[in-house]
Amino acid sequence: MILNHVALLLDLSDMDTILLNYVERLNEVYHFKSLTLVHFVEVTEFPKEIVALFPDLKKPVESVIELELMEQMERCSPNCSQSGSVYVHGGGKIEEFLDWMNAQDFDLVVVGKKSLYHGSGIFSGKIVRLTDCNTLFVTEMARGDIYKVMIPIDFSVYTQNALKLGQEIGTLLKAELLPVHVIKVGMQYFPLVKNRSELYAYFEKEAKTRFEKYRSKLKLTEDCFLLEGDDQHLSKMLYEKAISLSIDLIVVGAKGKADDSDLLIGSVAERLIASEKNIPVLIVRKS
Amino acid sequence: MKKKHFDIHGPVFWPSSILIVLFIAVTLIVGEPMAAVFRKIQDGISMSFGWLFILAVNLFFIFCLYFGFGKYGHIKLGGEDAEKEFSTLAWFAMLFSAGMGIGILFWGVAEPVFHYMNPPFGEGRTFESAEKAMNLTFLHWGFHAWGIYALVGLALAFFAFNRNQPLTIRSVFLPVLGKRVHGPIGNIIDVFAVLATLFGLATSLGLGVKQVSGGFHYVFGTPNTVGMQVFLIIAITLVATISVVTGIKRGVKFLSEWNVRIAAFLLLLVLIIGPTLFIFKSFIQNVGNYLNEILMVSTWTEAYRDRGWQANWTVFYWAWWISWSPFVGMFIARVSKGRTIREFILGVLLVPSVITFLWLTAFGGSAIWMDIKGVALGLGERIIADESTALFVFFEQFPWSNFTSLVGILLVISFFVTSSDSGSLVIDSITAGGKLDAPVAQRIFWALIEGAVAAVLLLGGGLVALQTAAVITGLPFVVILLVMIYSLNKGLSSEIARSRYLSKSQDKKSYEQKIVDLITKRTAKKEDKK
Repeated sequence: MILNHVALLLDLSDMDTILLNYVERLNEVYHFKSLTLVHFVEVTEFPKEIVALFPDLKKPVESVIELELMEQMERCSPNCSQSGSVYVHGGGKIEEFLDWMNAQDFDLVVVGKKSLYHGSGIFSGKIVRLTDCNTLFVTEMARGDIYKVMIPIDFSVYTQNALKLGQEIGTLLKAELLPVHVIKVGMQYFPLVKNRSELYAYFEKEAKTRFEKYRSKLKLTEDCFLLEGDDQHLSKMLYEKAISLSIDLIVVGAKGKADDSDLLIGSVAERLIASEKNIPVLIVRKS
Repeated sequence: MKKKHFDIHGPVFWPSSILIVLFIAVTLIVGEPMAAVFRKIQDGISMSFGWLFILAVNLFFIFCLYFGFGKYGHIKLGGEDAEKEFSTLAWFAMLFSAGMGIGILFWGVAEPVFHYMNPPFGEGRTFESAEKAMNLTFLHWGFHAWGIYALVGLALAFFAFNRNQPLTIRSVFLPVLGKRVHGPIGNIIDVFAVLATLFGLATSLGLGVKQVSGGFHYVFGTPNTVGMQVFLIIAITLVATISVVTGIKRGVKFLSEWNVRIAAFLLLLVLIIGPTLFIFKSFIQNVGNYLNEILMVSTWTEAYRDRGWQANWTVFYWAWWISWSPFVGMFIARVSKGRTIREFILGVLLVPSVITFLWLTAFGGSAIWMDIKGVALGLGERIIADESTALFVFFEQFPWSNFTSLVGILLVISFFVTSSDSGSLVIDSITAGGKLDAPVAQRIFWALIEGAVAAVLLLGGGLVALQTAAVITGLPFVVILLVMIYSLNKGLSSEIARSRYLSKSQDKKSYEQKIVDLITKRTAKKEDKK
């Protein structure tokens, strides 16, 4: 099994309950070896006015947060709490925190993806960009039941890992897998070919043979779903397709083929987590 | 505490030691014919790969300018909050003393005079050849040389201070190799770094000891033979070792501080008692010539005629600097925390080059002037007759020549001791996996090995063998440095993206409010329970 050690990033908002419920549902079939609830204290120290408000407070604020998260876990995800622990990173130094995250070697990091609640997703954006974790963005609407998983692929270096992870999720959760490849027929590159469908057929054939390689290597049973690209951004197309097929989870590699090396995540991954808010997205970095 | 006397990173330590011991053994066993072998190897590499060295060194220089004056210039080594550890003036002094040393004492007089007497083009001993001689010497000691150091130093500093990697060459390849830098590929890179440093250092030590022996011969009339040189290596290495063993760390520090002062004193002395006006005038003219012709001389590959001139000079220098670069780079990196990349490139490229130019003009330029003006008849011939005595022949033209020669000899010995000591520190830290506080015994081991390699090279072919050593180890390291550019560029570009995201900050006030709510809620609950 690939996903053994899971971290759940909580920010003390109402989203936390949704995340805990979601992880509890996943754990019913997944049985994580360990679950760590992680909270990063965003300020270096608390202002004196705030500390002065609570003269009776004997413990540091960090341990209050720790207790609170512990109780929440027992309340929302009782099954997880046996293998669960809580880590609160104080001090407000984000780089130290990111180093810590990398050192833990989590197989999966779960973060919230909010559209209604306050919070701009800056923190989860840092996690997915600056650590090498697989990051799952869970939406408010997510129920934790996963029947259909979409895996957009472009045959880049991340494709295999995305397929592998998707495959594992599919087998464990008995979900349907849907690898999707978008073919963009750039007619401008082929001034001598008059027939568009001829060209498309050629690309289609090539995509199929390439997918066949992954299929035999990973022993996948599914076929690759081919989409013809149009003028809108890839992520938009994929998202619309996912809505119309009522997809419960999108698993996508952190970077695509055309993305620059100085981008921390690719444009498709970026837009899927930033703009489209209703379907959970798993950004894959390692297997 | 098992590792009290021995703390090594096996996969780097053993291959490097075995290769070096093997080299020493083969040279000693083969004996005399080894000289011809060295000559063949050096010719072979220079002929076949000379163009690669020349191309690479130009690329290094161009990329230094790109890193320093492009979009990465504002990145600070050590992160936004890093503080400078040294004042700018002290920093300049340290940069200069890192790259200078035995080499400039050995070649400072000899090289310009050599080019002046036997120019690669045109007639020797003319005004034209004099100007060209200074130009070529500046090329070998100027921006390109410092560009190599700047590049390696920058890469090491960036990955050590901004990415918290150990200060070894392999760390620089993190963006290319990922976690594999900790595996066999990283070990191989470090083994090359050790070999390059060791042979580069041995070349310098060998040159230094040749010069000391030449100086003794000049002042005291002792024999100037290989046997004498080997004896001197043993003696000086032993003194250096004893100073390390007895923990006179202060001694080495003291020496390296005085190196700069004595060198400055010598320079000042020559400026005053030498042809002062000529030195200043020609300094300006030489720099102008150099800047004007930098593109042409730095890309000249002797493509249309092939007399092998370049193999002995330009290619040897590039290889020598490259094999020195892990050593100097590491030192430069360590003292440059808190500088921006722009400051770093300006500081490393410009300031030491200009001081070197002044040195070369004062020493080599004055010697040429005395020969061409007939102040000292036959000076040119006597200087090029033996490179190792060139400095002393030059001093002879001035009053108190025995005193200045003695100061020169002392300076070379002192450079020898400090180079040997800091060189073994660097090699030791690479073979110990990046640690800086490895046991002293290991440093002694490396100090002895350096001496041994230098001695063996002298026995096995003298100057040619020394040059060959630098060229052989420089070649694989050129390739490593070319990959280093790519890796550094990748690291720097992701640094910009990283800092963009790191600087995005959440709303602190709303976070504080969240915490206040949480604590209020919890204390309220507690009250209820009571």
